[in-house]
Amino acid sequence: MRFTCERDELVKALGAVSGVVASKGIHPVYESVEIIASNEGDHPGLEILGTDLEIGMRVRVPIGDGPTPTVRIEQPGTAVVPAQRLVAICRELPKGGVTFAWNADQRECTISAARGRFKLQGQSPEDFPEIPTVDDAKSVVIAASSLKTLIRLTAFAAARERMRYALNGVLVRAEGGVIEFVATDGRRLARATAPVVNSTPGEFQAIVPTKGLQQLDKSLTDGDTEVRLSVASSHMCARTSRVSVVSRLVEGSFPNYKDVIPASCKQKAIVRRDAFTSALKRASLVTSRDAQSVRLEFKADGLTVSAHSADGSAEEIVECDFQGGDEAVGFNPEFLLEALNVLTADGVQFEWNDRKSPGKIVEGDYVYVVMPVSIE
Amino acid sequence: MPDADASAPPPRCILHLDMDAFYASVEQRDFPALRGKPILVGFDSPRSVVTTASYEARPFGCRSALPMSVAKRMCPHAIVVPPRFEAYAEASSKVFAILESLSPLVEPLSLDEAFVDVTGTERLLGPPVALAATIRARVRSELQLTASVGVAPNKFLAKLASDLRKPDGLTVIGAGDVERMLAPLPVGRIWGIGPKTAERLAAEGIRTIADLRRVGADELERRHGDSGRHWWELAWGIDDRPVVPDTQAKSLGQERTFETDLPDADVVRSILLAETEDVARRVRRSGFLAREVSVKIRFGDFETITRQATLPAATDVTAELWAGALSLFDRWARGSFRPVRLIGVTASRLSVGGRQAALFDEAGHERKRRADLVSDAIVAKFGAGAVRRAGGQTAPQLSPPTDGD
Repeated sequence: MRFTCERDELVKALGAVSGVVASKGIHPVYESVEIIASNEGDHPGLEILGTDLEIGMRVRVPIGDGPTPTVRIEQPGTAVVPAQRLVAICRELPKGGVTFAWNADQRECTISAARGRFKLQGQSPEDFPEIPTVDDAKSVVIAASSLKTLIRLTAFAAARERMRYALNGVLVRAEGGVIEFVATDGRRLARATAPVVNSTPGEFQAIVPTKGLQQLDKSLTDGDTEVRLSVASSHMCARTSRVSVVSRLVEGSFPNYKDVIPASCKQKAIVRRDAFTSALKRASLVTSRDAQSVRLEFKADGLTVSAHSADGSAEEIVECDFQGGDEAVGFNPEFLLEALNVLTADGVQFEWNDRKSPGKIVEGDYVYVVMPVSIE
Repeated sequence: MPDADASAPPPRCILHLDMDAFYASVEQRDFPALRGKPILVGFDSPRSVVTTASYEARPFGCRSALPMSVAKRMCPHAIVVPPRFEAYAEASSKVFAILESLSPLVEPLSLDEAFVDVTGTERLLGPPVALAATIRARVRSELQLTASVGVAPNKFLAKLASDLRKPDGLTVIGAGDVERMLAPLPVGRIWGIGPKTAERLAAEGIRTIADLRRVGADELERRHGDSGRHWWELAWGIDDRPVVPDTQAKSLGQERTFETDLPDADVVRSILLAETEDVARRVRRSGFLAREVSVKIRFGDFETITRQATLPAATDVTAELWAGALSLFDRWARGSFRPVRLIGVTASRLSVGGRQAALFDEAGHERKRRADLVSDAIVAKFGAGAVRRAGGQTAPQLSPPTDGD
């Protein structure tokens, strides 16, 4: 196998795939990428594959249709090369063409550019782990930008601890022309929805590991317009014409989230997002690292954000639009800040019932529910 | 008044109290038919271990942490009594109430063992020896149980002292007694020297504390690293560790060393649970929430591994600490279990703060928390403690393991 590829395109593709590949595998083949060069089929060009056995990724570098092709394949074939070293070498090469040659007998690749020449020991393509394929029996098509927004609005709320597996992922549900993402760590919950472009043939529900979605988010670039999400019993695949990401699904049942989103709340306040964010950040400076809480006291003339711990205390008044009795509630400031960080409107609509019930932040169809922290 | 030594800190006075065959004694107290008879507290099932053997059973070789089946073979006429932890917790709470009425500096080591720093209480409470006698008398009259107490200038010597005349003894080691009293004792009396280390030292010709002194600090350090120097210091009765009550602790933990390696993962797991329950109780009693839990495992060859996990939220709920400890243990045990010499659990990243409410109560968080409070109410005045000593008294099957979900 032998091909020449533009350095920038090769680095982009290898960089994306190597992000998935384990940096320390049980065998060198698990630390490798597979490169397939082909002039045949629907997609002539390079295909680069990587997997950590949980998440698999394929990126295509098409031959290109400009006057100077992106990829020139002299001899088709398949190579398996250590991912991190290959990326590191290619990153350091000057702009221009990079020639990649694979000696199948020696399992050795030679990378040559303008002035340099590198040899890397590879692995047998036969040993490269298979990346599962997912058929389109259950799939929807969604705008790439919507998918990125859904991930950004929800993934941060999923559990990070490895104690409740079903919460280590985001629930992805397609139903009635709408796709819904829900994530919760048991103390707060984020739910976002978006319309689908095309929902034939159908409806599905799956829990996708946060890591898989974050990888997907990273992989989608400006050039990607539409993404097809397909779900099978144990995997989800998201693919564009250029890239596909396959993630194993989280087993287990997602909690009944619909019941914990308060339908209507007695108290409602609108606070400026930037002022609220700064006040929370400053107050959280004095909270104790492991049991954070701030007190929010809503009054007609403003919201008082306060915190106290053995290390000190903070108190700050933020303008707010609030009609109702004086009411104080306690929350983990991190949980509020993470939500404020993904919102876009200037005003935050904050709703709640009492100091023992969840608080709710609403922006359009987006709902974020957060449980309180007891305050004296 | 001479003040040549004005800069030196005043000598400390530390008491170490150790209840005698605690669980077994509570059983014999509550059930007169058991008095004077060899009893083994523990579950009579193939995988159980003895939690406490009464003094009548000890001449037969029965001791805590021994597999129940082995103990029954050693002493066939022994009566096996299933443990009643609430009774022990209640008795323990009364003991600690007595100690805490005398000094705020009470460091629990386990349900039945504690250090008390009584430095400077002489004018208020009388001489330490009289104070120790008072404690023993109160334990006897208020609980109908006996305790051994050691009085000494530091923790090491106090613990050594309480052990010298067990059961029902009172032993004082003064600064002037150290040289003479310690010299003939076997090196195994030194904290940190277990049977394996003692064997290694014996191979070097070091059998008694006097031998250890003769080798000298530098040589011991050369041969055994920092612990070598530490042993030498202890051999001369030097130990300046403070008595730290739980409320001032940075972490609260408990561990147990076994005399033989425990080959059964289920037994180890159940001991870990009992330890977690005690640690959780201490966390609650101290008014803390813990954000981190760690599990320590040591093997017969002294290799030690520690695994730690950050908890989803700071908590003082037993079931939530247990969910963390259990997942750490199981993740290790599933692939790499081998016989265990020591198992321990520690709650750390302690803080005082508001309690985070949960969205889904499917974990039964509130219910579990209420259950904890009910069980603590029995331990009302104080709580239990940690077991950091070999052959402590925690038992498996304290309650059925609860899952975190």
